[in-house]
Amino acid sequence: MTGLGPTTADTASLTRDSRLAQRLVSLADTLVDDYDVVDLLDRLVASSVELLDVDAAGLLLIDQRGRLQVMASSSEEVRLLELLQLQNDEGPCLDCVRTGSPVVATRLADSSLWPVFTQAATSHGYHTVMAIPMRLRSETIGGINMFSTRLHSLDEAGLRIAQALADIATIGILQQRSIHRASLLAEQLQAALNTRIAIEQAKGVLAERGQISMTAAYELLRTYARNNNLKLTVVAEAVASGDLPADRVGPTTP
Amino acid sequence: MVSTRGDAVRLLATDAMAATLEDLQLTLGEGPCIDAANSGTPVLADDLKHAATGPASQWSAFATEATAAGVQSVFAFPVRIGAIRLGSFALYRRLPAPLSETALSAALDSVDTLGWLLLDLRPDVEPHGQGTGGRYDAVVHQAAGMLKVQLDVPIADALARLRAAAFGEGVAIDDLAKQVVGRQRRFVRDAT
Repeated sequence: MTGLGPTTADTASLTRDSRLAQRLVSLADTLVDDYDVVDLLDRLVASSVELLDVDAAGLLLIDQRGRLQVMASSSEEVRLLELLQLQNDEGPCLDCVRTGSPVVATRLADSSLWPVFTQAATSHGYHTVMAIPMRLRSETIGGINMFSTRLHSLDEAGLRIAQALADIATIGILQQRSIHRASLLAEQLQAALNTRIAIEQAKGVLAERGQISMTAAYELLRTYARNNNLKLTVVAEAVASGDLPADRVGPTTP
Repeated sequence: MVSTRGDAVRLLATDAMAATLEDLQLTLGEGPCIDAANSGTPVLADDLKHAATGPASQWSAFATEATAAGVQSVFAFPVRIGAIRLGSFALYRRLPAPLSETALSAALDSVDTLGWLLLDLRPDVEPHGQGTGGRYDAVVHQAAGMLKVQLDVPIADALARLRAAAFGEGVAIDDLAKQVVGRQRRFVRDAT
C-alpha cells in the first residue's frame, strides 16, 4: 500500500496547511476594510494558538512612551504572565522585543535567565515559551508570545508560520499609518489602548447583566459585532456607555 | 470638554487666542476639537491655509477664522477612558508644521493624565484626592462595567465610585476590583 494515499504525517501537515490557508484568508479579509486593530490582534493571538498547537498566546506592543503594553492575550492567565514580565523587567518576551530576535525556551525549569517569570510560568503549568518579534525594518514594535504546557519546540515550518503571523500583525498596525502620515502609529496605539479599556468595561456590563464569565461576555461582544457587521470598538463603546442595551447583545434565550 | 449633561463647554485655555478658537468651534459646531471628541481619534492638521483635503477640509469655516487669527496648525486629541468621553485637548500653533515625535508623545501622555484628573474634577463625583495619572489594570475596567449595572449609573460614575470606595476603605483599587469581578463584593444602589 505504500505510495498510495497520504501518510499520517502528510495528512497532519495537510490539515495544518488548510487551516493556515483558512486563517490567512480570514485575516486578509479583516485587513481590507476599515478594521479594528484590537480585533485583528485578538484574532491573531487566537490563530497562533490554533495553528501552532500551543496552549496560550499573548501580544505586546511598545507604546509612544517606549513602554510595553499587553495588547492581546488568549487567556487572563497569559495576560498576567505578560504583566509579570513587564513589572519585573525580565522574561523571554522582553528579551525578544529588546533584541528583535526570536527567543525559544523549551525547558523553562532548566533556565536560570528569568527566575521570577520561570517560577510563575511553571507554577501555571507552562514549560515552553516562544517569543517572536514584530519588526518593521530596523524597528521592533512588539512581539507575539506563545506558551505551551508541554516540552515542545516549533519546527522550521512552525517558526515560519509564527513569524508570518507576527508580520501580519505588524502590517495590520502599520497599514493605516502608511495611508496618512509617519506619526500615526502613536495615535493608533493610543486609540487601540482605549478600545481595550472600552472592551473591558463592556465585558463587565455584560458579565454582570447575564451573570456570565468575562470570557463568555467577550464572545458575546465579538458575535454581536460580527453578526451586525459592526466594529468591535463601536459595539464595546455602545455597550459600556449604555447606548446599546446589554439585553440586546446578551445571550438569546433558547 | 463635554459636561456631565453631554453638552460641550470650554474648561481651560492657556491664553485668549486659544479661548477664542475653542469658543469659535462651539459656536460654529465644527472644528478639530469636536471631530477629535466625536471620533476618538486625534486630529492633526498642520497646515490650515492649504487644507483643501485632509481633516481640515471638513471645517472650512473654522480654518478660515483660525488662520485669520494667526493660527496655522492645530492638533486636537480626544480625552477618553474607554467609553467614558471627556472631551478633547488641543494645541494651536502659529507655524504650519507637524508636531515632532517627542511633542506628540508628550501630548498623548498629557491627554492620558488629563482623563484621570477630569474624572475627579467632575462635579457629580465626590473628590478624594487620588488624582494620579496612569493606567489601571483590565480588572478595574471590568469591575467598573459591573458596577454600572449594579448601581444603574453611567460608566464614568461607576469608575469613580469604585475609586472612591477603594480610597475610603484604604485598599488598592485593583484588589477591590478583583473582589467585584470575583463576585465576592457587590455594590448596592443608594436609597433615594
